[in-house]
Amino acid sequence: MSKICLSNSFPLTVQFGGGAELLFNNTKKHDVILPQKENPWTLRLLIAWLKENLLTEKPELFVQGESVRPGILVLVNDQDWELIGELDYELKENDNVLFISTLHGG
Amino acid sequence: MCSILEEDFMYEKSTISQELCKNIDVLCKKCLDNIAMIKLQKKHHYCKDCFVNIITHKFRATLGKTKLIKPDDKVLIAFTGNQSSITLLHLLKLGVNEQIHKRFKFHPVILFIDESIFWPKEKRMVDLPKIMKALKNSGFKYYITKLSSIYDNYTFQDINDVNDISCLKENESDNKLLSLFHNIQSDTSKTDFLLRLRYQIQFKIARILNYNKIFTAENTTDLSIRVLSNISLGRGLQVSFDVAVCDQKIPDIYLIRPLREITSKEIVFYNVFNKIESLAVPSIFPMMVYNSLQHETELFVYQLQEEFPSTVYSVFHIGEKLKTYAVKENMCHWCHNPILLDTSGVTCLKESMVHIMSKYNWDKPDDKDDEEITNKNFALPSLLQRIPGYENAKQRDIAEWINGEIKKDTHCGNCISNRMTQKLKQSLCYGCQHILDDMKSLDYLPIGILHETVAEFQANELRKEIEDFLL
Ligand SMILES: [Zn+2]
Ligand SMILES: [Zn+2]
Repeated sequence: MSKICLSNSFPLTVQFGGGAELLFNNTKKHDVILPQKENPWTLRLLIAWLKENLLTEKPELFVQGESVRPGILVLVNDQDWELIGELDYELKENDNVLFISTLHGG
Repeated sequence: MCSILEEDFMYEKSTISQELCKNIDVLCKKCLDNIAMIKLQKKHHYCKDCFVNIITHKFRATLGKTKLIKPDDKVLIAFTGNQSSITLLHLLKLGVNEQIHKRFKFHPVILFIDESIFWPKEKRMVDLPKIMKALKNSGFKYYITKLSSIYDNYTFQDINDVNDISCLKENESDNKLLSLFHNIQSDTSKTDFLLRLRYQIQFKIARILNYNKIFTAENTTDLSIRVLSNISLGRGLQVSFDVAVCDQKIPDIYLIRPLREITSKEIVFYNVFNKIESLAVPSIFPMMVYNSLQHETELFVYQLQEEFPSTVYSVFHIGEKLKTYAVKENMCHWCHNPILLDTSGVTCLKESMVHIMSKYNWDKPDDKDDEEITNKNFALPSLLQRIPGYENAKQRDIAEWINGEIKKDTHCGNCISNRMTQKLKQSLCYGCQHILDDMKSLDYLPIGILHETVAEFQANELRKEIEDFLL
């Protein structure tokens, strides 16, 4: 996989809902610019990056291992990530990634 | 038969296509035309339109199955602002705007119970107006009340100006409510008690409005978690009530759960596909409630669901099968579920009441040290006093009876200790007794809840006396 992007930035929209935004500075929509990389950005890498760079509260409420915690749904451009390879999905520029929690806490 | 073959064929085809060429989109298994947008139970793929149709159909089918909704019925819709309740509003709105032959003939009226006192303040300021807007946009008539209305005779309001949330501003009752929950020691009991209070308010307000049907927005996932939590909380025998499509805890009110066949994943996708913004009502006690058994159960269910996609359905159906043969007369005063216990122990009630009253006469609240006041066993006399109408003619029989007993009997005040609490416990089911045990003090228990409990003691006692007399 050679370099696909010629520009030196990788823009992406990341959204949170269902309470997951409480862990991200209580902000639902984040326009993020990922650093340019040799290998393609996958959802696996994005989750790790979010944990390091955007998460403001208790990581254990968002991540579990290298994935999101069970009960948090992931949609890319409104599509269920289960249909597109989950963690292995290769992100495209300007993708809209939505993390939405179905957990109540009670 | 044909459909089974078709299904297997589709499943196989899509798996292959996914493995061989990642970039080719999977098609919807229903219309075989559009790109699939959601995958259910790891095997069913649907496009947006087909999926939304399936959900609408499930909702209508669940309602239809109850055979309870009659034209021109008024139905109270319990709206919390969470994702499921937003879906419920949307489905209802579609239903009343359908073409004439499919249109809902009943009239939904919304009840919003504001629990935002438990939220962080910034969150309230942002999210409450959004909820108001969602209510307004629903086009239905709506009423607003607060969880703390348990202290204010379940008052509610209808508000037309969505920007005016002044009726929801903090008041004295909210502080009592916070103290009440603060007094409950475990998150598990807090969560359980909150659930019971919500139902209580819904029932009360339905009665005041003279409605006999309530819709709640509990989904399959919520209910399967409830099945397991209930079993762990000693509410195993109540499971069938708590998850039923039509729950008749209270004889004059039907509590209907029209979303019970729809999972939380389906709820989220329904909202996303319909571009409905989630309001993100935070958990009741943000960042704190995570120690509850209910939350652990929730995580457990979701974890299992990853490996075994039918977990939620399996647990849910187990819950349905746990039928109870309950005696209607013997209902818990807090959760309105049956108490399956022998209540012959009520006989020592009179004794306890006497003890309570004598204790009250001898030890005025001022004389108590702090520790005694916080001790729930000493809190009851003052609670008795707070019962509205206790001094009035309506309650005079109780007062006279107690006074009479005091004259006859002068037991020592020291041995009252646990006994009144014991009596209170007898009007509660095992699960609610557990909540009571978890309360450091009964001081902030709503008078209404206590009043009914004490009134029931009295009724039982009188009945017993009459029975003894007749024998
Ligand atoms: Zn389709
Ligand atoms: Zn109970």
